Amino acid sequence: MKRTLRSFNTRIFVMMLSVGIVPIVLCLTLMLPLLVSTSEHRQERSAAQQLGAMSECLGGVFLQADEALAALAGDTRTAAAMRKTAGNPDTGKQLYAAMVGAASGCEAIANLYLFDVDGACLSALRGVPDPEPLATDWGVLHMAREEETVYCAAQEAGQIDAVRSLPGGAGYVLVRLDGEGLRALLSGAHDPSSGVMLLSPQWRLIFDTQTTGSQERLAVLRERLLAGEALSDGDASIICSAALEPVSGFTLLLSQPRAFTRDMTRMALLIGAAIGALSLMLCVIAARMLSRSLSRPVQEMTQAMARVQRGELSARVTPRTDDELGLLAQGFNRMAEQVEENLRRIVERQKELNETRIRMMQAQLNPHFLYNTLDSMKWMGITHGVPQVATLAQDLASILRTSISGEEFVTLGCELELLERYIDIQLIRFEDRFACEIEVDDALMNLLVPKMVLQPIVENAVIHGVRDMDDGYIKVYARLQEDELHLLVQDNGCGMDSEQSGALSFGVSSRPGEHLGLYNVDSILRLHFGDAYGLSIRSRPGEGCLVMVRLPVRRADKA
Amino acid sequence: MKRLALLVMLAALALCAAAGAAQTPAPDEAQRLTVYTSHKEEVYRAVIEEFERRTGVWVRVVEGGTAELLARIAQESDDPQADVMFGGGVESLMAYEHCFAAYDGSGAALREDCAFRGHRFAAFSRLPLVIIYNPRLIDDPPAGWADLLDARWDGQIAFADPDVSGSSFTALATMMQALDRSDVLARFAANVRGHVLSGSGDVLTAVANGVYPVGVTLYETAKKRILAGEQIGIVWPCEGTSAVPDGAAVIAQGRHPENARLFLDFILGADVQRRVQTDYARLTVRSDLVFEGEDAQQGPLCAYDIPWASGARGDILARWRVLMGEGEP
Repeated sequence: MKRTLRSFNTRIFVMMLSVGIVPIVLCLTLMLPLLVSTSEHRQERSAAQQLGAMSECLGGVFLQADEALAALAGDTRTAAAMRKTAGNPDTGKQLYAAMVGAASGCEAIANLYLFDVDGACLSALRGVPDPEPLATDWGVLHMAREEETVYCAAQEAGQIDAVRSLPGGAGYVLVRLDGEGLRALLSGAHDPSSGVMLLSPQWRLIFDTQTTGSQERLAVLRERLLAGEALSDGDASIICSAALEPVSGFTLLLSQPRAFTRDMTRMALLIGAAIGALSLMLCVIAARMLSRSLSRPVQEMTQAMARVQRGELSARVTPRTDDELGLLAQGFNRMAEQVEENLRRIVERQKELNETRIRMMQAQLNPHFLYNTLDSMKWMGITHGVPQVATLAQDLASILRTSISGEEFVTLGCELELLERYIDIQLIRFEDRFACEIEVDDALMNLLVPKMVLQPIVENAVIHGVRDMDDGYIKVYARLQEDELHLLVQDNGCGMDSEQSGALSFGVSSRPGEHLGLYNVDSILRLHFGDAYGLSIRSRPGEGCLVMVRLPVRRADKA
Repeated sequence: MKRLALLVMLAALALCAAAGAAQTPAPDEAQRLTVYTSHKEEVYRAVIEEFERRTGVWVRVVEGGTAELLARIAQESDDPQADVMFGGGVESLMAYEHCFAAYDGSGAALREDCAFRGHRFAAFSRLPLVIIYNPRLIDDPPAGWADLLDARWDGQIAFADPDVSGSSFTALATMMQALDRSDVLARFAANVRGHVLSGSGDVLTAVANGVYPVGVTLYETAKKRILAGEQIGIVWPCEGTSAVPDGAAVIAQGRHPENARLFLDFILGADVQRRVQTDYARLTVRSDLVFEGEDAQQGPLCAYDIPWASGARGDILARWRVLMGEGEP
């Protein structure tokens, strides 16, 4: 029973699980990567756009700086004035005028400086000249060329210098973009949530919109670049994209916060797992409930069957539902009722048989006492010269012996011999007022019949038929009809009314007290051979009576 | 059918994503250089960035201790991961010379004692040792090594454990060579009186804070603290001090030998060597540079026998431990 429950449970559980969990798993495994990849793709496109815009901005400024430097360097008067500048206020004004003229447009975010050959600052477009000289053997001024503007990180962090040598080694002109200017320049071109770094051609930090941790972040990215790895590590919450600014050779590096961070993906997976767990729990509960609703009626039926097997025929199942299981329970109940009824009938028949046996046994008195008494009577009859008494006693003893012998079946010959003795007795009793004739073919003498079936019939014929007549006649004969042996007893006595005979002809179903002998015979025959056999009586009042015994043909095995 | 469509969509998206992520190309092998350095970032950073600016070479720097990096180089000798060892005392580099490729630095005008002809490394800078003192505690600091042995400085000298600090050991070896006396170690040990500090940084801190009035350390670190605003006085010992060179070497079988040689040429060049003395408070290894004022060498140098110091190192340290009451007599 437990196994039934478990297997139901398991099967239903597995099916529900596949229905409940598979969509969630599919959703997580297909949708999530799709979402992540779409979002990243979008971010990459946006990064490319931002980088393009910033590159354009910067390039524009660098080109302006280049133009300003070229204009200033190309002006031969600048170099000439610079050679003569030391402490000369006129040449200082001249230089300043030249610088104002050259710095067309870029003065808003950049400052313009003039340095002499030793790196000392001679003049600045805005503010006072930087008192600290610049090294000419290092950094910006060392890079400076005559015909070409060189872009370089300034000595001070976060600034960019664009520099050119003046012709003939007269000095240097320099445009400096400071951090504020750069920030203002780039802020319009990139998303405020993303950070921008400006890097030298070898990826050294020049400028960063974020103020802290720049070097550390850059060190990691540079290592990745040199190792040939992707800049945006899959684990990081930042997507990095880089683009080259063609004018300066600088690299713009954009860091966007990843829309789908590892944490978010993990959270989504966690939620998915939680939903999965919930649905798993629901599956378990639903499977348990469904299997119980299926298995409980089955289990009850199985238990009821087991009770029936043990003999408790009263076992019944209460149908709970109107479905197939309910019908099954009703069918079971009907079947159990029929079995119970059949058994009750069998028991009843057995009881009847037992009662008959008991009655027969009650009829058996102590035979030895009877034999001895009858023997005494016989000899007393002989010695006292009353032969009728002797005959009576002898015949009675013979009848008794047969009737109480253990055998249930005797040959028809024996039965007839017994009958003859009985008739002898009755003839003596009734002083030969009736005659009896037995007419049976010798061929039938060996057929087996239940013992003492003819005697009660003949007795009935004598007592109820011919006792009050002077010319009574009883005829006993037998015949074979197909497989049946018919024994017939006919008398010419007063007969029976149809009520009596009709009742009798139905055998066991009625029990008239008057014809107990006939009833017993009929009962014995039916018990032995079934309801198809028994007695039948045909009679009319005043016209005698014919009693027929029908029984199957059975031959004695030993002749 | 729908599932197929979905799969196709996914594949297309993946392809798009791959195409969209146009990687910034990593530099060519010819444009690369890997440098192992035991210098501090404040020393190597400007040098390396200037080198990158001038040559366009991408330099990858791996920092570490001298011993650690040299051991790593020896370990990687089958497949060297670095091209240049930048930093480390010349006596350490000598021990690992088999890992280096020959470098001919004769193009630069080097000092005779820094040329190291026949060796496979080049000296980069020299690190003079000086006596420091707290000017708020004393007005007449010791003039030289001999003064430090005077009983006046009993228990007054900040000195780092020579087992830990290379410069402390060099100080001992310098005193032993500069002073022609046999009791240098014993006298000095008596003045230190067992109170050795755990590192060379502690010497400066102890003197600046006035815990000890006098100490022995490198000129470079003392100068750095002075620039940071601490009140420390420097005495160049009158007997002459040592300026033990550190060096650089091209690693044998490196992947970028050309760039490695370029780098060594650069750091031995006048532009860097000038800064060795002006910016790093060391002494240049070139003979053709002239410095004036504060940048010039402030005191005499004594002869310092590097091979002798290396050879006697174990012996000196053992004796020192005994004098400090730590080792077996």
